Amino acid sequence: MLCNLRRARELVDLAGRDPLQRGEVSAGNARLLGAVEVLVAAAPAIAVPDALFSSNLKAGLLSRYDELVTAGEKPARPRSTARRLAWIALPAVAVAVVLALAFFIFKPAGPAAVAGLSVQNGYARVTDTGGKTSTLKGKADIHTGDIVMMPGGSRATITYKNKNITRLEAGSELEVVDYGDKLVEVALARGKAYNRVMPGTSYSVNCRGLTLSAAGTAFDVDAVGPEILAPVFESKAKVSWTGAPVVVVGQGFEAKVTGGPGSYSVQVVPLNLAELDFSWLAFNRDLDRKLGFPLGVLEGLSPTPPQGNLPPDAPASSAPGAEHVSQPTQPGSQPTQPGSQPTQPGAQPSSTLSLSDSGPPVYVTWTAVNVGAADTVAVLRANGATTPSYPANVLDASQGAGATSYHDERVVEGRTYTYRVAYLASGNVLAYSNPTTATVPAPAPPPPRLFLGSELMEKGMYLKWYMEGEAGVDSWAILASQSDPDPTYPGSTVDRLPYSGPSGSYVFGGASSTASYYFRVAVLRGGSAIFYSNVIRSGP
Amino acid sequence: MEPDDEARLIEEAKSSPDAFAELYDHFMPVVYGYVMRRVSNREAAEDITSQTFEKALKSIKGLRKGTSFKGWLFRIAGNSVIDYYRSRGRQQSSSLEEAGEVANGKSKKAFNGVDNRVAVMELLESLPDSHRTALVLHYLEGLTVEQMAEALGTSANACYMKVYRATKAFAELLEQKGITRIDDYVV
Repeated sequence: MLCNLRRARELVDLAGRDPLQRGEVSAGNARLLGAVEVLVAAAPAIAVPDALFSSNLKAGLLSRYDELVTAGEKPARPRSTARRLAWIALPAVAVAVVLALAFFIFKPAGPAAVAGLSVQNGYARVTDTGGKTSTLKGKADIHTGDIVMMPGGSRATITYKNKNITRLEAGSELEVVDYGDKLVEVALARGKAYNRVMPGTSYSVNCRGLTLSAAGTAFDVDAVGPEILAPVFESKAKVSWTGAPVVVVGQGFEAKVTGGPGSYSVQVVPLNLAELDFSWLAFNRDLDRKLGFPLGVLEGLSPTPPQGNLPPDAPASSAPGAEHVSQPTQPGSQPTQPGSQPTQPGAQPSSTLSLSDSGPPVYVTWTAVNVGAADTVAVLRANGATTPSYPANVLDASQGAGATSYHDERVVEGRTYTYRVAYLASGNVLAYSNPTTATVPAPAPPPPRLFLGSELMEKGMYLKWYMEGEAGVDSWAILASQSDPDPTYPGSTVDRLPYSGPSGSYVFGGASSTASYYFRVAVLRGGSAIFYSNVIRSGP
Repeated sequence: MEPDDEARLIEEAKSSPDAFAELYDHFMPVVYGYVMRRVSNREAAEDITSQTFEKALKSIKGLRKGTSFKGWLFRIAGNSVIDYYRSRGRQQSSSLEEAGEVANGKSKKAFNGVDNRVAVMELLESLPDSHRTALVLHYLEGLTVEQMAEALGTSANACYMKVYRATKAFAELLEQKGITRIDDYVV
């Protein structure tokens, strides 16, 4: 049985793979996989439901939603029955309670959390070592091996049990590789991580084959672009990779690493805070200040964004202290942060969105006005005519605020979607565009086809056919001719059969082994042939 | 639909018509396609699809977390198909009975090779119910073994075995008929 199960699993696994990815396949499995290919190739296309039926059924179900859901609930039992059951159930419950207590007291301990995740903006996706991904807001536990991904517009802090801290910017992906009382090792796959390291602990970030490590310091690792940037804000950090001497980067300096594994080159230059992302630095500075950490060069960071970074009509104060500025520009839009106050009406981003819904993909385009204070534009999508909102309906948040288009390829033909974009600053909504609705055209149903096969039997020529697709058929006409290689209806009709399903059969008794015949079947509707099968020729 | 989204929608659909509508939009065409494949009759397929979603809505509050919605719907639909055939006194089209002859090798020679799709689909129909169901659910409807387990009310390991045995039986039938490939033929 186990051996057969192993074979069964192997077959299912192989059948689910692309034939080019199967590798070496045993003769037995090759035979079975061949049968699967024949079956899949022969199967008719999946039927598509009639649109009117679909919408009527949906409307009917929704109008009876309360009635049906309630009908499915089990009615309460009469009291007397409940009492009888209670007498039976009580001992069972008592035993269950004892067992549950024993389980909680003696259960084997699961892997302990090594850190806490706190999502400051948006949400995080955490994939555990079992491959399960959870979408998290607020606070959650982090274990060794967890991978934390931050979607666009989101930020989070990982605080380890040994007090070290990693903060993740939107678009980042980080794995907690190893943890000990005096050790943190993480791997930054992409994005940006701010690292606050406690004295006496070893903390390292692996990134594209580099190791950036420190003890008692604050530094950033920025793997957003082709370079890896590592500005050191407090104390010092080290940059190393296999086969190269360690480079030490002091406070107020930045390591710029170019090239790739095997050809890295590092340059240490004085840090220019004005060149870095103000929003990200201010976010970390403010949190570090609250926690009482020495700020190092971040003390010198301006309380507000440098004026030179803003367009002339952008708001002057969109620093984190005023970061929850939300001002809808379109009727019906609303800020996502309660209590948000518009600071400078008229200087907020605004946008007009339009769609091309001629077929997948849907092309979403919009204008961008006054987007200087925004760092991201999020494309939002909801099903039907529902207006999407941030962060519940984020389709994409990987683009900077200057983007003006998005191609949505993940659409289902025949379905309706409503889109709008949201301009974000540090994960907070500054403004929404107008919502616009599009229906992706339903695919044209494939034309129906009729396949005819034949077999010479003792009692005559056995004809069998199968129709693929829907054609509203009334009946079949069996056509035979000795002279016409394309027998037609009604001239060559030898019989008519009522339609009773997509397949049918007929025995033509008039055939002999010495005469040639051409056969085909006509599909009739309203007394006319609407199309024909292939032609079968019999005889010498 | 992502598993997380599906799980969220199922929970929401227990109290929200909008969430149920979203599940309906996603799964109705799949269920209809499956039923149509089983009954080959548009009216019957529409009736069974309606019954399936009505039953699903009645039972959705009892649906436990982690259940595959697709597998669950296929289970309801599959039971409705059985009821449908029972109510018709197990009337199958005469062509299927004839297909049995073809499949059992009573006819004189192999099918003419102009297009052997008909013969292949009839060989499928001639298999025992459990084999046919396993092949259709897994290879044609694309259900994973876990979803099949939900649909058939059995374990994933049992589904692996069902698919394996059904594939072996089907391969043997194809070999008896000498069918090794499908000849493409466009009318």
